[in-house]
Amino acid sequence: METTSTMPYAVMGNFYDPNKLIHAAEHIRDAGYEKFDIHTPYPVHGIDQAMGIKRTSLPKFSLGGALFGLANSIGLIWWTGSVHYPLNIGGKPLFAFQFSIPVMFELTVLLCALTTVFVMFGYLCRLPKWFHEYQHDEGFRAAVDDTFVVVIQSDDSRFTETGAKGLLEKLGAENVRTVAANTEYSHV
Amino acid sequence: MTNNYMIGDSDFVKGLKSKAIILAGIGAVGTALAYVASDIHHFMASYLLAFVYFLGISVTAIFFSALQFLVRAGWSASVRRIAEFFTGFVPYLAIGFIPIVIDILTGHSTLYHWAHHTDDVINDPVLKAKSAYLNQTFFFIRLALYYLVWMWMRSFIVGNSYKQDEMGHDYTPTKKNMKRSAPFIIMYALTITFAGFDLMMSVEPHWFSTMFGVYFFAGNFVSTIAMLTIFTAILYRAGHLKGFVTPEHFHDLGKLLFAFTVFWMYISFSQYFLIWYANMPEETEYFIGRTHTSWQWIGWALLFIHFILPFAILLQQKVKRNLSVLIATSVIILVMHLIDLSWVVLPVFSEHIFFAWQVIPLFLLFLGAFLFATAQQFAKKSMIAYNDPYIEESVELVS
Repeated sequence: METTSTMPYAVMGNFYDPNKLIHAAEHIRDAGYEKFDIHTPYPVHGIDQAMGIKRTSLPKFSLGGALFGLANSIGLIWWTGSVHYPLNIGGKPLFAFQFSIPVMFELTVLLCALTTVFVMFGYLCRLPKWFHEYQHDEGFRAAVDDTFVVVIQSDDSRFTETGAKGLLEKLGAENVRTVAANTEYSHV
Repeated sequence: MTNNYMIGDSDFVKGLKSKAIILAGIGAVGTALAYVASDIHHFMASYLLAFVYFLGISVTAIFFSALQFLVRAGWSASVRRIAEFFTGFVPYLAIGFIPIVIDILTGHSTLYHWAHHTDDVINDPVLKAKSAYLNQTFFFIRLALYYLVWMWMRSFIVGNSYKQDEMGHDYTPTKKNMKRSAPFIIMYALTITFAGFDLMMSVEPHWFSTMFGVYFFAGNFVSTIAMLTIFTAILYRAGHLKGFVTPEHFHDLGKLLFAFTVFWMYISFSQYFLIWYANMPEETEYFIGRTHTSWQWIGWALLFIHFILPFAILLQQKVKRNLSVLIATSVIILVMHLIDLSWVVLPVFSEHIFFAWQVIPLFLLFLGAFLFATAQQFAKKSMIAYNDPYIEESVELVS
């Protein structure tokens, strides 16, 4: 996967206090940054709102998958039963909604669930991803242990290196640094 | 914590009481007129519908409360008491049974063909075979039994819930409820199933469906949730539930409403589907009278307005936090529940679709009585179970 071109380098800062982190996230959001991320060792309540993360588009995909499954089931039963291979079974009509509903229900649920899972992991979460671009940074690795890491990416339209660094320092970040994205492992 | 949640003197409860009296008054006058002016069959059928409607909601409210205790639900602690107030109508059910009992005792019941003492019933092989169950004496015994079980369950579960208010951090009443709610839920399942069989299914005594009980339950449960949602939303808007109920609770009520609308459809379709597929005459007569006559339009209305419409509305997340839409959806569900019950009872009296206008005054009468009984509870008890061990969890709910 070629993701290197979109992530040239970033400014990072470490936080140790979740309240400070949320405060910082709100300020970065209000400063107009869009391409910034926060890595935490555990889920932090309220961080989504503080970062201004919009609601996921996943439900739209789910609905699409559900409607696709519904259409398929009707098509399947109608075409196989009354067009391609009509069979009289116990005097029942060749096509009726009464006996199609269980199949309609099952295929709707099945394709809805499959669409949700694959769109979420494969598209929205961009999996499989074996190596994160900033994973070589020592400070970033601490995000799985005891540190909250705020990352402002240089491809944000408002980004200037000094501006981002200044903002993070003002918000109380420690070890504010510029990190180049590692492209070496991103082809794995 | 001090008790600031007795709102007996508030405008809400006073308004509820006066509205209840006005509704019941209009309903009573209309009912008297309907009784004098109209066909007794349609009158009694409408009576049964209106009575069973509020019987279902008030009894299912006991189940709702017991269920919260059984599963140690945290989210519902701040709205549970309002459902418990609905059970205030349960003691009055005894009065409601009287016209039905009198109707049967006359020997030519307008509602229940099996209760007739006529030759066509005595010589009917099907009714003869069912007479060990469907006879007047046993029917009355069962009605009395349901009533006593419901009264017992109510006084235990709701009584202990009320008692907890005065107990501070001694949680004995709540613990008693948690223990007892499991057998009570089994008893509720049995009584609501057989009450459905007796009061509703036996208007068509030749027909039977083992799914009828759960079908009856599904309609009652979704209506109880809808009623709870409306009350909670109105109280919330009036500012009475400040600090206890948040949009998160409405989100959860919306989810329950959504889930049990689907459950109702699932059960009612399953009943129809199995009978349609098996195509056995003793079972199909019920649906032939309801889907192969002009009554089919009610069937379609149920499909589209009782299921597809609320389903489509409640599918979105945002909507479950929008009180106006939630109230409107609840009203739709409550209206459709009455039509659902009508679809069971009214086709017995005519194979052509008709509007039993008598149901309007009777429904208003029972609605007034139900609201009055609920307002009585509001006046007596705190509308928040503020000493519930889960109340803080409920306040901090994130759904």
